[in-house]
Amino acid sequence: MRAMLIREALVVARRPAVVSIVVVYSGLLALFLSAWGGQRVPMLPGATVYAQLQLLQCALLIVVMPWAAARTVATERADDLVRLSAILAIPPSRVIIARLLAAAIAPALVVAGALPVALIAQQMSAVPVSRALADQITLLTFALPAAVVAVWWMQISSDRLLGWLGATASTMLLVTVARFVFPGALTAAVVAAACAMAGGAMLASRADLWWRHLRGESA
Amino acid sequence: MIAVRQLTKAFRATTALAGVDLEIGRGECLAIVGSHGSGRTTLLRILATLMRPTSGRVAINGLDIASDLSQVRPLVAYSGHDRIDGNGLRVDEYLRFVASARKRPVASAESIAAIVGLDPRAPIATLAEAVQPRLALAAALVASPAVLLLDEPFHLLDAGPRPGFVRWLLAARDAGATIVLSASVADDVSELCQRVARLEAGRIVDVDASHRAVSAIDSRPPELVGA
Repeated sequence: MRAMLIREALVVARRPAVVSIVVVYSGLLALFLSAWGGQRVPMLPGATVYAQLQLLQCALLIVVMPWAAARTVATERADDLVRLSAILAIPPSRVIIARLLAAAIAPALVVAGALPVALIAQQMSAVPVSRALADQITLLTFALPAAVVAVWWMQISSDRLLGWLGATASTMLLVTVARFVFPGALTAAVVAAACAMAGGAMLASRADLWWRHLRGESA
Repeated sequence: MIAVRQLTKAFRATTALAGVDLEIGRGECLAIVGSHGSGRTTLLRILATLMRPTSGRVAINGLDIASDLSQVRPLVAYSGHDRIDGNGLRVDEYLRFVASARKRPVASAESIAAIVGLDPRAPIATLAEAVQPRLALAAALVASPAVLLLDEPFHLLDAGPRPGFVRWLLAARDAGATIVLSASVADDVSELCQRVARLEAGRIVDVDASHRAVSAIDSRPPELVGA
Protein backbone atom coordinates (compact mmCIF):
# COMPACT_ATOMS: atom_id res chain seq x y z
CA MET A 1 0.00 0.00 0.00
CA ARG A 2 2.88 2.34 0.83
CA ALA A 3 4.45 1.74 -2.58
CA MET A 4 1.12 2.42 -4.24
CA LEU A 5 0.64 5.68 -2.33
CA ILE A 6 4.13 6.87 -3.21
CA ARG A 7 3.63 6.03 -6.88
CA GLU A 8 0.25 7.78 -7.11
CA ALA A 9 1.63 10.85 -5.36
CA LEU A 10 4.68 10.84 -7.67
CA VAL A 11 2.40 10.70 -10.70
CA VAL A 12 0.47 13.73 -9.45
CA ALA A 13 3.68 15.60 -8.66
CA ARG A 14 5.06 14.93 -12.15
CA ARG A 15 2.09 16.45 -13.94
CA PRO A 16 2.99 19.91 -15.20
CA ALA A 17 -0.69 20.76 -14.85
CA VAL A 18 -0.39 21.06 -11.05
CA VAL A 19 1.84 24.11 -11.20
CA SER A 20 -0.12 25.76 -14.00
CA ILE A 21 -3.43 25.25 -12.19
CA VAL A 22 -2.06 26.76 -8.97
CA VAL A 23 -0.54 29.70 -10.87
CA VAL A 24 -3.68 30.39 -12.93
CA TYR A 25 -6.04 30.13 -9.95
CA SER A 26 -3.89 32.26 -7.63
CA GLY A 27 -3.24 34.68 -10.49
CA LEU A 28 -6.95 35.20 -11.11
CA LEU A 29 -7.53 35.89 -7.42
CA ALA A 30 -4.57 38.29 -7.29
CA LEU A 31 -5.89 40.02 -10.40
CA PHE A 32 -9.26 40.44 -8.72
CA LEU A 33 -7.61 42.03 -5.71
CA SER A 34 -5.38 44.35 -7.70
CA ALA A 35 -8.22 45.44 -10.00
CA TRP A 36 -10.90 46.07 -7.45
CA GLY A 37 -9.33 45.60 -4.04
CA GLY A 38 -8.67 49.23 -3.11
CA GLN A 39 -11.96 50.58 -4.43
CA ARG A 40 -15.62 50.13 -3.72
CA VAL A 41 -16.45 46.82 -5.29
CA PRO A 42 -19.28 47.00 -7.80
CA MET A 43 -20.08 43.29 -7.66
CA LEU A 44 -21.72 43.08 -4.24
CA PRO A 45 -22.44 46.48 -2.69
CA GLY A 46 -21.74 46.49 1.01
CA ALA A 47 -19.66 43.33 1.00
CA THR A 48 -16.00 43.47 1.98
CA VAL A 49 -13.33 42.66 -0.55
CA TYR A 50 -12.57 39.54 1.49
CA ALA A 51 -16.20 38.33 1.24
CA GLN A 52 -16.18 38.93 -2.49
CA LEU A 53 -12.86 37.17 -2.92
CA GLN A 54 -14.31 34.20 -1.06
CA LEU A 55 -17.26 34.14 -3.40
CA LEU A 56 -14.92 34.19 -6.37
CA GLN A 57 -12.82 31.44 -4.78
CA CYS A 58 -15.88 29.21 -4.38
CA ALA A 59 -17.03 29.80 -7.95
CA LEU A 60 -13.59 29.05 -9.38
CA LEU A 61 -12.88 26.07 -7.16
CA ILE A 62 -16.04 24.23 -8.19
CA VAL A 63 -14.58 24.11 -11.71
CA VAL A 64 -10.87 24.04 -10.92
CA MET A 65 -10.84 21.37 -8.20
CA PRO A 66 -12.35 18.52 -10.27
CA TRP A 67 -10.19 19.60 -13.20
CA ALA A 68 -7.03 19.54 -11.07
CA ALA A 69 -7.89 16.07 -9.77
CA ALA A 70 -8.90 14.69 -13.16
CA ARG A 71 -5.90 16.20 -14.93
CA THR A 72 -3.29 14.91 -12.50
CA VAL A 73 -4.49 11.51 -11.35
CA ALA A 74 -2.93 8.32 -12.82
CA THR A 75 -4.78 7.17 -15.91
CA GLU A 76 -5.08 3.37 -15.69
CA ARG A 77 -8.67 2.23 -15.94
CA ALA A 78 -10.55 -0.96 -16.83
CA ASP A 79 -8.15 -3.57 -18.29
CA ASP A 80 -5.06 -1.46 -17.57
CA LEU A 81 -6.08 -1.33 -13.93
CA VAL A 82 -6.50 -5.13 -13.92
CA ARG A 83 -2.99 -5.56 -15.34
CA LEU A 84 -1.51 -3.07 -12.88
CA SER A 85 -3.18 -4.79 -9.96
CA ALA A 86 -1.94 -8.19 -11.19
CA ILE A 87 1.68 -7.23 -11.75
CA LEU A 88 1.81 -5.55 -8.34
CA ALA A 89 -0.16 -8.36 -6.67
CA ILE A 90 -2.21 -5.64 -4.97
CA PRO A 91 -6.02 -5.81 -4.96
CA PRO A 92 -7.67 -3.17 -7.20
CA SER A 93 -9.39 -1.71 -4.12
CA ARG A 94 -6.00 -0.65 -2.71
CA VAL A 95 -4.99 0.90 -6.00
CA ILE A 96 -8.21 2.91 -5.92
CA ILE A 97 -7.77 3.98 -2.29
CA ALA A 98 -4.25 5.21 -3.03
CA ARG A 99 -5.54 7.01 -6.11
CA LEU A 100 -8.34 8.70 -4.17
CA LEU A 101 -5.89 10.02 -1.61
CA ALA A 102 -3.42 11.16 -4.28
CA ALA A 103 -6.19 12.81 -6.29
CA ALA A 104 -6.91 15.12 -3.36
CA ILE A 105 -3.33 16.47 -3.47
CA ALA A 106 -3.77 18.71 -6.52
CA PRO A 107 -7.03 20.39 -5.41
CA ALA A 108 -5.55 20.87 -1.94
CA LEU A 109 -2.46 22.48 -3.46
CA VAL A 110 -4.67 24.80 -5.48
CA VAL A 111 -6.38 26.04 -2.30
CA ALA A 112 -3.12 26.24 -0.37
CA GLY A 113 -1.42 28.11 -3.21
CA ALA A 114 -3.95 30.91 -2.96
CA LEU A 115 -3.54 31.33 0.79
CA PRO A 116 -1.30 34.44 0.49
CA VAL A 117 -3.92 36.17 -1.68
CA ALA A 118 -6.65 35.28 0.82
CA LEU A 119 -4.53 36.67 3.65
CA ILE A 120 -3.96 39.93 1.76
CA ALA A 121 -7.73 40.27 1.29
CA GLN A 122 -8.20 39.51 4.97
CA GLN A 123 -5.76 42.33 5.87
CA MET A 124 -7.50 44.73 3.46
CA SER A 125 -10.90 43.98 4.96
CA ALA A 126 -9.74 43.86 8.59
CA VAL A 127 -11.20 40.39 9.04
CA PRO A 128 -9.70 38.31 11.88
CA VAL A 129 -6.95 36.04 10.61
CA SER A 130 -8.52 33.10 12.45
CA ARG A 131 -11.65 33.50 10.34
CA ALA A 132 -9.61 33.61 7.13
CA LEU A 133 -7.78 30.46 8.11
CA ALA A 134 -11.04 28.71 9.03
CA ASP A 135 -12.49 29.68 5.64
CA GLN A 136 -9.45 28.29 3.84
CA ILE A 137 -9.67 25.05 5.82
CA THR A 138 -13.32 24.81 4.78
CA LEU A 139 -12.30 25.19 1.14
CA LEU A 140 -9.54 22.66 1.69
CA THR A 141 -12.11 20.17 2.97
CA PHE A 142 -13.86 20.34 -0.41
CA ALA A 143 -10.72 18.89 -2.03
CA LEU A 144 -11.75 15.43 -0.85
CA PRO A 145 -15.22 15.36 -2.48
CA ALA A 146 -13.75 16.87 -5.65
CA ALA A 147 -11.06 14.18 -5.74
CA VAL A 148 -13.46 11.30 -5.11
CA VAL A 149 -15.93 12.52 -7.72
CA ALA A 150 -13.11 13.00 -10.25
CA VAL A 151 -11.68 9.51 -9.65
CA TRP A 152 -15.16 7.98 -9.99
CA TRP A 153 -15.64 9.74 -13.31
CA MET A 154 -12.15 8.98 -14.58
CA GLN A 155 -12.64 5.30 -13.85
CA ILE A 156 -15.96 4.98 -15.62
CA SER A 157 -15.29 7.36 -18.49
CA SER A 158 -12.90 6.53 -21.33
CA ASP A 159 -12.45 10.19 -22.23
CA ARG A 160 -10.61 12.58 -19.94
CA LEU A 161 -12.59 15.63 -21.02
CA LEU A 162 -15.87 13.83 -20.46
CA GLY A 163 -14.58 12.68 -17.08
CA TRP A 164 -13.72 16.22 -16.09
CA LEU A 165 -17.06 17.62 -17.29
CA GLY A 166 -18.92 14.88 -15.42
CA ALA A 167 -16.80 15.44 -12.32
CA THR A 168 -17.38 19.20 -12.45
CA ALA A 169 -21.14 18.82 -12.82
CA SER A 170 -21.27 16.24 -10.02
CA THR A 171 -19.11 18.35 -7.69
CA MET A 172 -21.27 21.38 -8.39
CA LEU A 173 -24.38 19.37 -7.57
CA LEU A 174 -22.86 17.90 -4.40
CA VAL A 175 -21.63 21.27 -3.14
CA THR A 176 -24.91 23.02 -3.96
CA VAL A 177 -27.00 20.38 -2.21
CA ALA A 178 -24.68 20.35 0.82
CA ARG A 179 -24.68 24.16 0.99
CA PHE A 180 -28.47 24.30 0.60
CA VAL A 181 -29.20 21.68 3.27
CA PHE A 182 -26.50 22.83 5.69
CA PRO A 183 -26.27 26.65 5.92
CA GLY A 184 -22.86 26.66 7.62
CA ALA A 185 -20.05 26.39 5.07
CA LEU A 186 -17.87 24.24 7.30
CA THR A 187 -20.75 21.89 8.10
CA ALA A 188 -21.54 21.61 4.40
CA ALA A 189 -17.89 20.88 3.64
CA VAL A 190 -17.66 18.23 6.34
CA VAL A 191 -20.89 16.59 5.17
CA ALA A 192 -19.67 16.66 1.54
CA ALA A 193 -16.36 15.13 2.66
CA ALA A 194 -18.21 12.43 4.61
CA CYS A 195 -20.36 11.66 1.55
CA ALA A 196 -17.20 11.56 -0.55
CA MET A 197 -15.54 9.13 1.83
CA ALA A 198 -18.59 6.89 1.60
CA GLY A 199 -18.48 7.17 -2.19
CA GLY A 200 -14.77 6.42 -2.19
CA ALA A 201 -15.27 3.38 0.02
CA MET A 202 -18.02 2.19 -2.33
CA LEU A 203 -15.75 2.56 -5.38
CA ALA A 204 -12.93 0.73 -3.62
CA SER A 205 -15.20 -2.12 -2.58
CA ARG A 206 -16.65 -2.43 -6.11
CA ALA A 207 -13.16 -2.27 -7.63
CA ASP A 208 -12.34 -5.80 -6.48
CA LEU A 209 -15.38 -7.06 -8.40
CA TRP A 210 -15.25 -4.81 -11.46
CA TRP A 211 -11.51 -4.95 -12.14
CA ARG A 212 -10.68 -8.44 -11.00
CA HIS A 213 -10.25 -9.84 -14.52
CA LEU A 214 -9.82 -8.51 -18.03
CA ARG A 215 -13.07 -7.86 -19.82
CA GLY A 216 -11.96 -10.48 -22.33
CA GLU A 217 -13.95 -9.63 -25.42
CA SER A 218 -11.38 -11.27 -27.65
CA ALA A 219 -8.94 -14.13 -27.62
CA MET B 1 3.47 -26.29 -9.28
CA ILE B 2 0.79 -25.77 -11.94
CA ALA B 3 -2.05 -28.22 -12.56
CA VAL B 4 -4.52 -27.56 -15.35
CA ARG B 5 -7.55 -29.81 -15.71
CA GLN B 6 -10.01 -29.75 -18.60
CA LEU B 7 -9.57 -26.02 -19.08
CA THR B 8 -11.90 -24.37 -21.56
CA LYS B 9 -12.37 -20.78 -22.60
CA ALA B 10 -14.99 -19.54 -25.03
CA PHE B 11 -15.42 -16.02 -26.41
CA ARG B 12 -18.98 -15.87 -27.68
CA ALA B 13 -18.88 -18.15 -30.73
CA THR B 14 -15.12 -18.77 -30.61
CA THR B 15 -13.59 -21.51 -28.51
CA ALA B 16 -10.06 -20.46 -27.59
CA LEU B 17 -9.30 -23.39 -25.29
CA ALA B 18 -11.05 -26.72 -25.57
CA GLY B 19 -10.09 -28.98 -22.69
CA VAL B 20 -6.44 -28.31 -21.86
CA ASP B 21 -4.68 -30.61 -19.38
CA LEU B 22 -1.19 -29.74 -18.16
CA GLU B 23 1.12 -30.45 -15.25
CA ILE B 24 4.15 -28.23 -14.79
CA GLY B 25 6.63 -28.87 -12.01
CA ARG B 26 8.52 -26.49 -9.75
CA GLY B 27 11.70 -25.25 -11.40
CA GLU B 28 10.52 -26.40 -14.80
CA CYS B 29 10.41 -24.38 -17.99
CA LEU B 30 7.63 -25.24 -20.42
CA ALA B 31 7.38 -23.70 -23.85
CA ILE B 32 4.00 -23.47 -25.49
CA VAL B 33 4.11 -23.34 -29.23
CA GLY B 34 1.33 -23.11 -31.75
CA SER B 35 0.03 -21.19 -34.67
CA HIS B 36 -1.72 -17.81 -34.58
CA GLY B 37 -5.07 -18.21 -32.82
CA SER B 38 -4.17 -21.51 -31.20
CA GLY B 39 -4.97 -20.16 -27.74
CA ARG B 40 -1.50 -19.61 -26.28
CA THR B 41 -2.12 -16.07 -25.05
CA THR B 42 -5.48 -17.06 -23.59
CA LEU B 43 -3.89 -19.97 -21.73
CA LEU B 44 -1.14 -17.74 -20.33
CA ARG B 45 -3.64 -15.06 -19.31
CA ILE B 46 -5.76 -17.60 -17.47
CA LEU B 47 -2.68 -18.96 -15.68
CA ALA B 48 -1.84 -15.35 -14.79
CA THR B 49 -5.34 -14.94 -13.25
CA LEU B 50 -6.07 -12.14 -15.70
CA MET B 51 -8.87 -14.09 -17.35
CA ARG B 52 -11.57 -16.34 -15.97
CA PRO B 53 -11.83 -19.80 -17.52
CA THR B 54 -15.19 -20.87 -18.89
CA SER B 55 -14.80 -24.26 -17.24
CA GLY B 56 -12.13 -26.50 -15.83
CA ARG B 57 -9.74 -26.02 -12.95
CA VAL B 58 -6.33 -24.42 -12.60
CA ALA B 59 -4.30 -24.78 -9.42
CA ILE B 60 -1.03 -23.01 -8.73
CA ASN B 61 0.94 -24.30 -5.79
CA GLY B 62 -2.24 -26.11 -4.73
CA LEU B 63 -4.32 -22.92 -4.76
CA ASP B 64 -7.31 -22.57 -7.04
CA ILE B 65 -6.95 -19.50 -9.26
CA ALA B 66 -10.67 -18.75 -9.03
CA SER B 67 -11.30 -19.07 -5.31
CA ASP B 68 -7.83 -18.16 -3.98
CA LEU B 69 -7.09 -15.24 -6.30
CA SER B 70 -5.49 -12.98 -3.70
CA GLN B 71 -3.11 -15.75 -2.65
CA VAL B 72 -2.29 -16.81 -6.21
CA ARG B 73 -1.46 -13.35 -7.59
CA PRO B 74 1.71 -12.87 -5.54
CA LEU B 75 2.93 -16.20 -6.94
CA VAL B 76 2.65 -15.26 -10.60
CA ALA B 77 3.74 -12.52 -12.97
CA TYR B 78 2.72 -12.20 -16.60
CA SER B 79 4.23 -10.32 -19.47
CA GLY B 80 2.27 -9.84 -22.66
CA HIS B 81 2.52 -7.29 -25.43
CA ASP B 82 0.40 -4.58 -23.83
CA ARG B 83 1.52 -1.00 -23.45
CA ILE B 84 2.06 0.40 -19.99
CA ASP B 85 0.98 3.98 -19.38
CA GLY B 86 3.99 5.74 -17.94
CA ASN B 87 1.99 8.48 -16.21
CA GLY B 88 5.08 10.68 -16.35
CA LEU B 89 7.40 8.13 -14.72
CA ARG B 90 10.78 6.89 -15.90
CA VAL B 91 11.58 3.22 -16.57
CA ASP B 92 13.59 2.81 -13.37
CA GLU B 93 10.92 4.53 -11.28
CA TYR B 94 8.22 2.21 -12.59
CA LEU B 95 10.35 -0.89 -12.03
CA ARG B 96 11.32 0.23 -8.52
CA PHE B 97 7.66 0.72 -7.79
CA VAL B 98 6.89 -2.84 -8.95
CA ALA B 99 9.78 -4.20 -6.89
CA SER B 100 8.63 -2.27 -3.85
CA ALA B 101 5.02 -3.47 -4.19
CA ARG B 102 6.25 -7.06 -4.60
CA LYS B 103 8.67 -6.63 -1.69
CA ARG B 104 11.67 -7.35 -3.88
CA PRO B 105 15.03 -5.52 -3.80
CA VAL B 106 14.54 -2.22 -5.59
CA ALA B 107 18.20 -2.24 -6.60
CA SER B 108 17.41 -4.95 -9.17
CA ALA B 109 15.29 -2.51 -11.19
CA GLU B 110 18.14 -0.90 -13.13
CA SER B 111 19.98 -4.13 -13.90
CA ILE B 112 16.79 -5.79 -15.16
CA ALA B 113 15.98 -2.79 -17.33
CA ALA B 114 19.40 -3.23 -18.91
CA ILE B 115 18.81 -7.00 -19.36
CA VAL B 116 15.80 -6.35 -21.57
CA GLY B 117 17.59 -3.52 -23.37
CA LEU B 118 15.84 -0.53 -21.81
CA ASP B 119 17.48 2.67 -20.70
CA PRO B 120 16.56 2.92 -17.00
CA ARG B 121 16.56 6.71 -17.06
CA ALA B 122 14.30 6.98 -20.11
CA PRO B 123 10.82 8.43 -19.55
CA ILE B 124 8.29 5.70 -20.35
CA ALA B 125 6.38 8.05 -22.63
CA THR B 126 9.44 8.35 -24.90
CA LEU B 127 9.91 4.61 -25.47
CA ALA B 128 9.45 3.55 -29.07
CA GLU B 129 6.31 1.58 -29.91
CA ALA B 130 8.29 -1.61 -30.58
CA VAL B 131 10.30 -1.30 -27.37
CA GLN B 132 7.48 -0.33 -25.01
CA PRO B 133 6.25 -3.92 -24.31
CA ARG B 134 9.71 -4.71 -22.90
CA LEU B 135 8.69 -2.70 -19.87
CA ALA B 136 6.04 -5.27 -18.97
CA LEU B 137 8.66 -7.97 -19.49
CA ALA B 138 11.07 -6.17 -17.18
CA ALA B 139 8.30 -5.71 -14.61
CA ALA B 140 7.60 -9.45 -14.63
CA LEU B 141 11.29 -10.16 -14.06
CA VAL B 142 11.52 -7.57 -11.29
CA ALA B 143 8.52 -9.20 -9.58
CA SER B 144 10.56 -12.43 -9.63
CA PRO B 145 7.63 -14.64 -8.76
CA ALA B 146 7.41 -18.41 -8.27
CA VAL B 147 5.68 -18.70 -11.65
CA LEU B 148 6.79 -16.55 -14.57
CA LEU B 149 4.40 -16.41 -17.54
CA LEU B 150 5.87 -14.85 -20.66
CA ASP B 151 4.00 -14.39 -23.91
CA GLU B 152 6.46 -14.39 -26.82
CA PRO B 153 9.29 -12.77 -24.86
CA PHE B 154 11.86 -13.41 -27.62
CA HIS B 155 9.67 -11.60 -30.09
CA LEU B 156 10.22 -8.42 -28.05
CA LEU B 157 14.00 -8.62 -27.87
CA ASP B 158 16.56 -8.12 -30.58
CA ALA B 159 19.84 -10.01 -30.72
CA GLY B 160 21.64 -7.72 -28.27
CA PRO B 161 19.80 -8.35 -25.01
CA ARG B 162 18.76 -11.97 -25.78
CA PRO B 163 21.76 -13.81 -24.27
CA GLY B 164 21.56 -11.87 -21.01
CA PHE B 165 17.82 -12.42 -20.85
CA VAL B 166 18.20 -16.17 -21.36
CA ARG B 167 20.92 -16.29 -18.69
CA TRP B 168 18.60 -14.50 -16.27
CA LEU B 169 15.79 -16.97 -16.99
CA LEU B 170 18.12 -19.95 -16.62
CA ALA B 171 19.29 -18.66 -13.25
CA ALA B 172 15.68 -18.09 -12.14
CA ARG B 173 14.70 -21.58 -13.30
CA ASP B 174 17.64 -23.14 -11.51
CA ALA B 175 16.66 -21.22 -8.39
CA GLY B 176 13.26 -22.93 -8.48
CA ALA B 177 11.09 -20.59 -10.54
CA THR B 178 8.58 -22.19 -12.86
CA ILE B 179 8.60 -20.61 -16.30
CA VAL B 180 5.86 -20.95 -18.91
CA LEU B 181 6.44 -19.12 -22.15
CA SER B 182 5.11 -19.06 -25.65
CA ALA B 183 7.71 -19.09 -28.39
CA SER B 184 8.20 -19.50 -32.08
CA VAL B 185 11.95 -19.93 -32.42
CA ALA B 186 13.33 -23.36 -31.54
CA ASP B 187 16.80 -22.14 -30.58
CA ASP B 188 15.49 -19.88 -27.81
CA VAL B 189 13.33 -22.59 -26.34
CA SER B 190 15.82 -25.45 -26.59
CA GLU B 191 18.35 -23.71 -24.39
CA LEU B 192 15.82 -22.83 -21.75
CA CYS B 193 12.88 -25.23 -21.60
CA GLN B 194 12.87 -28.87 -20.66
CA ARG B 195 9.52 -29.53 -22.33
CA VAL B 196 7.55 -28.15 -25.23
CA ALA B 197 3.76 -28.30 -25.50
CA ARG B 198 2.15 -27.79 -28.85
CA LEU B 199 -1.24 -26.11 -28.84
CA GLU B 200 -3.57 -26.36 -31.80
CA ALA B 201 -7.11 -25.04 -31.93
CA GLY B 202 -7.23 -24.79 -28.16
CA ARG B 203 -5.96 -28.31 -27.47
CA ILE B 204 -2.58 -29.62 -26.40
CA VAL B 205 -1.69 -32.01 -29.20
CA ASP B 206 1.84 -32.86 -28.18
CA VAL B 207 4.03 -32.48 -25.10
CA ASP B 208 7.57 -33.70 -25.31
CA ALA B 209 11.07 -33.08 -24.10
CA SER B 210 12.79 -33.44 -27.45
CA HIS B 211 11.56 -30.13 -28.92
CA ARG B 212 10.03 -32.04 -31.79
CA ALA B 213 6.91 -29.94 -31.39
CA VAL B 214 8.75 -26.72 -32.16
CA SER B 215 10.07 -27.78 -35.53
CA ALA B 216 6.60 -27.62 -37.00
CA ILE B 217 6.40 -23.85 -36.58
CA ASP B 218 9.99 -22.78 -37.12
CA SER B 219 9.37 -21.64 -40.65
CA ARG B 220 6.62 -19.22 -39.67
CA PRO B 221 7.46 -15.52 -39.84
CA PRO B 222 7.60 -13.99 -36.35
CA GLU B 223 4.93 -11.36 -37.06
CA LEU B 224 2.30 -14.09 -37.20
CA VAL B 225 2.89 -14.90 -33.57
CA GLY B 226 0.87 -13.44 -30.74
CA ALA B 227 -2.40 -15.33 -30.64
